[in-house]
Amino acid sequence: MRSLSLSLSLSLSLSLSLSLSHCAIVRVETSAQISNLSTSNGTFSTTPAIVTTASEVVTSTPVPPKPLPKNTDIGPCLCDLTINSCDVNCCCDRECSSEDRTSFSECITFNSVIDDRLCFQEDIFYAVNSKLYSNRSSNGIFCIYYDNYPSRNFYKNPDLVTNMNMFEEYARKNSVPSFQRRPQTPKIFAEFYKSGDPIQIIYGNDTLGYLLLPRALSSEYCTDFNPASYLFDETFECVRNIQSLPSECEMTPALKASTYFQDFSIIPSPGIFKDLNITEENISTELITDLYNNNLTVPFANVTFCNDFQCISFEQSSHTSILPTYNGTENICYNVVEKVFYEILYKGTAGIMSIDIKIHLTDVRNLNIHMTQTFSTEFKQSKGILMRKSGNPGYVRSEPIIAGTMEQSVTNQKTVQLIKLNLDRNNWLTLPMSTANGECSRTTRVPVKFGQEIRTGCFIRVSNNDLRTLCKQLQNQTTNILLGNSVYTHVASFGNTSVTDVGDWVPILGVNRRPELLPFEDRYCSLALGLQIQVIFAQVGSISNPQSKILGVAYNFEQRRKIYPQCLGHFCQGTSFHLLELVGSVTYVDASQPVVEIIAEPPSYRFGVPFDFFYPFINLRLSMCVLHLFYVYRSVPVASVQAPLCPRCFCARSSLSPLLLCTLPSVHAPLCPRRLSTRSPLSPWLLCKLPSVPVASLHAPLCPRGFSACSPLSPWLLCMLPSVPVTSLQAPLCPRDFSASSPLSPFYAHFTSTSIDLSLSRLATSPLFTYTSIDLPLSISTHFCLLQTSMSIDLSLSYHFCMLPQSVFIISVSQPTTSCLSDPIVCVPICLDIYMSLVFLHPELPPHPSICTHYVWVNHSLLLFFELIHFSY
Amino acid sequence: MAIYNVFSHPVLHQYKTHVFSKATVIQVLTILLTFILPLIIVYRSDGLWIREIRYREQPKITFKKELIFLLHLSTNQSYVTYSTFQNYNNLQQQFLRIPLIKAFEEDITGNGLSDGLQLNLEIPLFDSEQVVGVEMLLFFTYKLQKFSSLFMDCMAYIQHSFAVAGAKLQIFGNLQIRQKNLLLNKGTNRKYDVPIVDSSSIFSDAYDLSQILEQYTQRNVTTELVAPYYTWIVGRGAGRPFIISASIKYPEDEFVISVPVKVGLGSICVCLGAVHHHF
Repeated sequence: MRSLSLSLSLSLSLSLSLSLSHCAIVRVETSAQISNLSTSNGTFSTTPAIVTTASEVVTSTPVPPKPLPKNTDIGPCLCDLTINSCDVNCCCDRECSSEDRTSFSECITFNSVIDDRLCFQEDIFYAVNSKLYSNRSSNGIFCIYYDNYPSRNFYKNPDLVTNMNMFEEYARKNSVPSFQRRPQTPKIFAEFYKSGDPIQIIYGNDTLGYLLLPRALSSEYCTDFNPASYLFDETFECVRNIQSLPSECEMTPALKASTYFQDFSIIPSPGIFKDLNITEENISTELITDLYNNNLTVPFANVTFCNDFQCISFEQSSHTSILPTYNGTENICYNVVEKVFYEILYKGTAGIMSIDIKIHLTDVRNLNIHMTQTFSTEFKQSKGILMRKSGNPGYVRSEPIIAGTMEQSVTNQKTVQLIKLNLDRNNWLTLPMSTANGECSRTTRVPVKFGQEIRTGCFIRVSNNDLRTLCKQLQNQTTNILLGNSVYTHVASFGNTSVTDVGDWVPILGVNRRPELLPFEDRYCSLALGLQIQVIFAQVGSISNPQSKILGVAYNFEQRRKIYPQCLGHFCQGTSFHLLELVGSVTYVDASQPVVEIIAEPPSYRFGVPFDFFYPFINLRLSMCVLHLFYVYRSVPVASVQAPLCPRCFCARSSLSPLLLCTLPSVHAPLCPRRLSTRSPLSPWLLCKLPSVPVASLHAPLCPRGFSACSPLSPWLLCMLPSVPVTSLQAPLCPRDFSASSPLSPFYAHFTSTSIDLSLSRLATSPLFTYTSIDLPLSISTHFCLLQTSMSIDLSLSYHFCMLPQSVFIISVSQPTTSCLSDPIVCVPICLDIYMSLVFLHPELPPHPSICTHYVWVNHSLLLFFELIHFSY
Repeated sequence: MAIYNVFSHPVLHQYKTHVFSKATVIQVLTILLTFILPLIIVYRSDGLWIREIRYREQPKITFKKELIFLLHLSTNQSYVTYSTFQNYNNLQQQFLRIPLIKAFEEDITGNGLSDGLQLNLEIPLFDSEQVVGVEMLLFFTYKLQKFSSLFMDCMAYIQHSFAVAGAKLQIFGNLQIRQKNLLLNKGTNRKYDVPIVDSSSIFSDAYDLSQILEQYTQRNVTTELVAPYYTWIVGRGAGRPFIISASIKYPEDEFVISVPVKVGLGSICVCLGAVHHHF
């Protein structure tokens, strides 16, 4: 065994084998090969000559790189890494003496020679801790013994990069994402501000910057360097974490009012940089100082300081500011900034005209407090209060519902109704909310906003004694809390309803129906503790752009609850009070008419063959007959009734054709259902032939509806309606194998049980056919043997006019028989007896029958055995 | 003289027998062997008869406006809770804190089915109360229509905790179905159309979170928030409430249903048809 593996590895030269037992022999071969290679190219020369020639390279003109030999392995000895010294276990290292090599425990092998024996299999067996190899040659016919095509086995040697263009070319071709920082977004030196641009400011200490609006990021704490966006009204709330009130109160810039308006001016428009010929390159401290000192920039016109009780305004020129002051005895920091509000007037491309600031100050008491600050901007074109609509016209989600009180005033002896509107948007419809201790907040209430369903509430603490004695007062109090102070009577139906359009305001139902005040009865106090505001709205206008309109609003007080005095422990010692939960909620009911999508009818297609299609095989006159058979709908005026419903030319020759569509025996729409259903109660297909069903209702999502409209009986209707391509019919609505190739198909049942007859008499009674018909005694039965059921239908329905000068054939189908059913399971040739009758245009002429027989193959699948009686005069 | 076929006509042979006769027995057996036996073989051979299929549908999910939440506080290892169930609130009186709940469900695609819920809770807290964990149950109704009608009550369980006291918890997730067995392909399934929490009970165990979850996991069809994302915002300002903001989408989901017989038969017929064509 061992000798075998030895001999194999010998012939392998530099195989991947790491077996120690091969070592001695392999080593000899590799070292010999390597000495050859290195002498031939010497690429990895390890002589110190490189070091000495380095200075020459620098001084001389560009020296071309040493050419690499083409298609050669240039790394024959990868382990030789030490200069002038023998590397351990590196058998190919020429610095190693033969003694050194003998002392090596193994040779580091690597596959430096292209293996010329690709056709061997190597298996490794693990036995305890050692590996055993078995190498076998394989002599399969697909085995490539030697791949000597060089460009497949060697890299091309790309040129060294000598200039920047080349470097960029390489980098661009093989670009990958890098960790490099993205370039700085340049400061804007545009002509004017656009909405969303940062607003540039200039500081007194000669620096440019942006107007900042601190904002929370990643936590609730303020990040100070968020720029304000031009023309976008923004409001941010964030938290200042004051660690030590005594040290931070007067020192921290964020708490000082002056930080937000002093020592900087707004640049009204970046266009002034251009006016002063300032560009990004030439901007200098002097220019900035000039800019700050001249009157092109906009300083703060008005500075208003407010506290909870009053506001004081200053002109900015007075340089007055209220600074925080710390009172050590009471540990209070007075006049800390709580809210900053910038009011900016702007005008088109001219930019900012003026800027006012309103600062709300507060006193901070506790140590280590997290104080919330609010920063907001508002852009206006003129001073004054701007009234914001809640929608134009339809209400927008999360905008407050507009509520007002209807008042009547008498002017000129005429009663005029008017809506009185509170201008505070957050004080229209409101609900109570709770404070941290759970009790009802006296100051803040939740505004009702459109589309936002709300549940809120709060507690009232009531002792058992109060429950008994103050039941009536309790109900009064809870009703007041639920309704709030301001009670409105009407709600605007649109978000932009004018106060003068009284008719567009809907009354709030039930707002005056306050719960009755009932005394404490027997053992309980009966209280209504909840209020539900129900809003009914609907979408109106275009479906693609629906607008929400409020149809009605109702206040519903909750059903009364019986509140019993509550006890816990001995003599109710454990309970001193009740917690009565007041609940306020808002519900929205969408009363819009649901949108129904209707998909248009797919375009019908028509195709046909020329009348002489079968020319060499059948006689022309007859071929015309046969072809007309297929085109029967074109030539029969009745067909025009079905024209919109049935693909005209159809079906007859297409194996895909929804042929049933064309089999309609009854063509008069109103008569159809009755006739069909009386004809054959067995076949669901008949119901499907209704020509009067709107095509659009066929499509999947609408199907049930369309179906029920037309016939409550048949689900097949959906699958059978005209002018729907078969492929779409076979969608989830239809039985899968609609294609009738399967014996289990409902189609099969149809063809064996349905009788389709097209009586001549009916044709004859049609006003379009004024001739008489005679059923010949010598009626001849012929057979249509059809390999595909789908083909049969056209024929079965065909009454045919053969365009011969003297005669007309009408072929109709009478009872189909099962006589042709050769194989009941798989093969489904369906045979129909064709009953042929003759109609003479000139009945007085005696008929002279002659018989001609023809075979016609159509579409590979239809074998039409067709016999016609040709009557000639 | 050449002979040619003038006319041909197949002959129909009819064999008649009494109902009670050997021929009838053979006829019945033949029919059984011809139709039933292959079907049995096909049905029993795993693979040819498709037993289960997958389909996609967007369920009609509605937030029931019912929820329970618990805020775990690091102060005194206490908690604050609230639910929309009055009896639960009565039981938890000393830990109750009434939130402001805002919710809306939006039908973005305009197909009559809600596409998601945006829920916002503001829970007023004292400045000293430090929230380090949140548990919340949201209750929904769930409806399927395409194959079988499935009506059920389901829920989303949200649980998140953090070492640092927070100001706001944001949740972004998708409410998706988890089915343990096949759904029916027709008919109506109302087995789970019962409230998950018996809100009429005045006993504590009806609202015990572990019991609710245990009973919920025993169901065959449940919903869950699939791999939700959380952001925990720290630094609650003085006097500010703790905010839970959940954005839960109701995406189109994949369901595995047992195969309707007609589909199974149809696939067999297609196979037979293909075989027939092949030969």
